[in-house]
This record gives sequence, structure tokens and C-alpha cells, in this order.
Amino acid sequence: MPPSSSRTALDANSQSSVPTAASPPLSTSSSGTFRFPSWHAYPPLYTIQLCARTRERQLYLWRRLALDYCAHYRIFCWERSDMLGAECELFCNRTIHRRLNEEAMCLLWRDWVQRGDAAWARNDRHDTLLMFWRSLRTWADEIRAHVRRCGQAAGGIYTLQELLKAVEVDGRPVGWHGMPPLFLQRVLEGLQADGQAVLLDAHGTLGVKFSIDPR
Amino acid sequence: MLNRWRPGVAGLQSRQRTQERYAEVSEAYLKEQYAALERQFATFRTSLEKFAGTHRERIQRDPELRAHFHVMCANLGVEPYVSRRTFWSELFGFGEWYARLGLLVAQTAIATRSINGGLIPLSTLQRVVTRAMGYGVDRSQSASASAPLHLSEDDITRAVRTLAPLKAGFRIVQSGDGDKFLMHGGALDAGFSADQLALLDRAREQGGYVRREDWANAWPDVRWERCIRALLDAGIVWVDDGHADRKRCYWVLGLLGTPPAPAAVS
Repeated sequence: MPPSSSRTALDANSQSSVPTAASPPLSTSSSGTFRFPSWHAYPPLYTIQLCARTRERQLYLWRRLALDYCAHYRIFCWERSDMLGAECELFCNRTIHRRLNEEAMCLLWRDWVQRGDAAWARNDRHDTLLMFWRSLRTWADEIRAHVRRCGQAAGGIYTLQELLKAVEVDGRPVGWHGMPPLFLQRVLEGLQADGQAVLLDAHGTLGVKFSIDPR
Repeated sequence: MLNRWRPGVAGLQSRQRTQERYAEVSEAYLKEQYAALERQFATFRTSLEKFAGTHRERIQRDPELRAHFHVMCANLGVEPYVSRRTFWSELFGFGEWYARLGLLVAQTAIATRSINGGLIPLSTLQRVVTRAMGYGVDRSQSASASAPLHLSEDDITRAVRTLAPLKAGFRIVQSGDGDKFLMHGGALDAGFSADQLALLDRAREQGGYVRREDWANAWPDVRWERCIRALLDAGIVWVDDGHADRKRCYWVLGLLGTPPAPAAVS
């Protein structure tokens, strides 16, 4: 996990839409194991609260923690079964013998999706969550900036595989390294919806044509 | 006859003169007393200033001495931590110092509010602020100039007082056991009832939580309900159904752990 590979790519565009930009992430170090906040060891955080206002706060805390956790380990796609599994260190705390049950997790997921911090990979089957610890917009801007930097004028065509394997000019990995094709496709679909790219399907190979104003 | 009874007008005049003389004398006496008192006061003040000047280091280092010093100052009508441009603030910089502590208190209180509902023990604040100011670290090996400084509960109380002009509703409440808490954000506008304070005490004794059973016979349902309901609504108490025996625990989250220290302000 290279610690700061994404910095140069990010500097090119606004960082304001990075989800954790407003308040610093809970873990201070960008490498190593994730540092949990002290409330992770507070038993009642694992029971959905009765009082509506407290529940709001509780959902907020979990949402922020999940995003920070994903950002730390660069989790793009999160399987439902992994989140519910006994070995998931985020949603259970063995020291205090507490865990979020499935009902509670469903509530958390609904909250993330509602807030636009996550989305189900498929709406008909809720088994994989795309985690937006950076917004789709931010990823899209980063990819566009990279394409522009690499000298591809308007009309540059890439396959998804090319984009995923892309490296910076100086050889460092790009900010979105490790992003699954499924996730990248979602990013590009967003660009297509804004008229800034066209997705192409050539004999089963997905490609993308960027429409970038030559600057 | 003439000698024994002097005519009316002259007699009255003379009596009046006597009374005026008395008044003059007593006024002069009072004035003198007042001046003497002033002198004494000034002397005391000067010696207090001298004392403060000589023991400045110790006053800044020793929380107990600092508390006594503050009481003495308050009795004299000198408030070193309020007045900005006086001998006192120049000597100690107390005004700014307490304002800084106050800022850290406010930061900590606001940052932890989503968890503790706006209730935080002063002892916790004391730890957090001490850490944020970089005090209390064992620096015994280093030079005496950077010897460890300590904050007392009194300092925190004074720091909270500097927040009063903000009208943010920072308040200090005291439980039956004498534990002091900072409350803010209108969590419980009416303050704590005796039952709620008792509940806080019990929770602290039991490591942060209470259960209905703790008052099984002592409190009828309606009394328990009223007590716990308000605390739940204020976000001070959270429910926990995850206990092994399946009985609900009610946690006072403000009593758990020490929140991370905010960045020290300079």
C-alpha cells in the first residue's frame, strides 16, 4: 500500500469533494493498521438506539468510521458476507463481546446509500457495496486530469484495462490503483451521464472515449 | 436663677454647636479609620503583589497554591484572570491562559457531544486539557524551566467560567458524591434531578452503566421511567442490549474513556 501515491494526481483538481477533507480521518497514519476510535469499545454503539436523535448520531459515527476504514485499506467493493462475517474487525469488538447484528447492519447500509456514501453494485441483489470514501466525481476528475496530463488530446480512447493499469509519468501508480473494473465502470458511467465521456463496447472489451477540451 | 437657666435661643445655639462639633469629630475619626483601612489594604495588596511576584513560578506550577491565591485575590476584589491589562495579567498572563484552557474545554466538549450528549466529567476534561497543553508529561530529567505543570479541577472550573460570555450554556453540575460534570448544549435545560444525579453516581461506581434492577424495589416503574427517559432523550444515556444475560444496560457514555485531545492552541 503506497502511502501517498495519489497526492500529485489529486493536487491537479479540487480536493474539496474528498469525503474526509472537512474533518481529519480518524486514523492518523496512512499506513499500518487502522486505529479505531475509543467509542469502538463502547458497548451501546452496537445496539441501535431508541431515541431518534441519538440514533442519528450513532449512524453518523458508524458511517464516518466505515468510510475512514475503507479509505485506510482502500476498500472499493465490500461484500455483504464479509461485513457480516465474524472476522470483520470493524463491526464487532471481541474485547467487549459486542457486534452489530444483521438488522443493525441493514440500517447502517440504508443510511450510507441514502447519504450517497455508498451504493449497491446491483440494485436487485444487495450483496456488494461500492464504498465512496472518495466521491465518484473526485475519481472522475482525477482520471480526466491524468488523461489530460498524459497528452491525449480530445478523442483519446482507452480500454478499462488500460486505465486500471495506468501509471503516472514518473512511474508511480495512479491514485485509483487497485480499483476494481466494476467500480471504474461506475465512475465512467457518471462521466458519460455528464456528457464528458462515451463508454464503448468492442467485442466484449469495454472502452471509453473522453471528450476533453484541449488545454 | 440666671446662672442655672440660660435664655432659650442662646442655649439652643450652644447645644447645636456642641452637636456640630461631635459630628465633626466623629467624621474626622471615621475618615481617619477609613484612611487607615485603605493604607492597610494597600499594604496588603502590595505585599500580595510582592508575594505573587516572588512566587510566580510556584503559583503557576502548583495548582493548590494557585487555587488559594485566587481565593485571596477574589476577596480583595482583584481578579487576575479576568482583568486583561493589569499588573496581574502582565505578571501571569492569567486572562489569556484561562481563555486558552477555556477554548480547549469548549473544543473537547463540542467534539465529544455526539457521544456523551453534552455531559462530561471535569476529571476527564482535566486529563484532556492537560494533555492538549502538553502538561503533566514526566519531564523530570530535563531542566527545571520545563518541569511538569499540572492543572487542577479549580483551573478547569475557572476556564469554564471564561466561556460564560459565549452564552453557549456551559454549566458545571455536581453529583451527590461531589463529582463535578460539565454540561452544555441545553442537554437538560432544567438541570439534573436528584434521581438523575443518583443514577450518574451509580453508573460511575459500576463502570459506566446502570440497570433497572439497580433500583428494583427502591424505585417504582414510573419514577425510573421519568428519570431514564429524560437522560435518553438528552443523548446522555445510551441503551445496550448486547449483554450476555440479555438484560438491558443503560450507559452514561460521558463516563467512559478519555477523548482524544484537541490540537493545542497557541
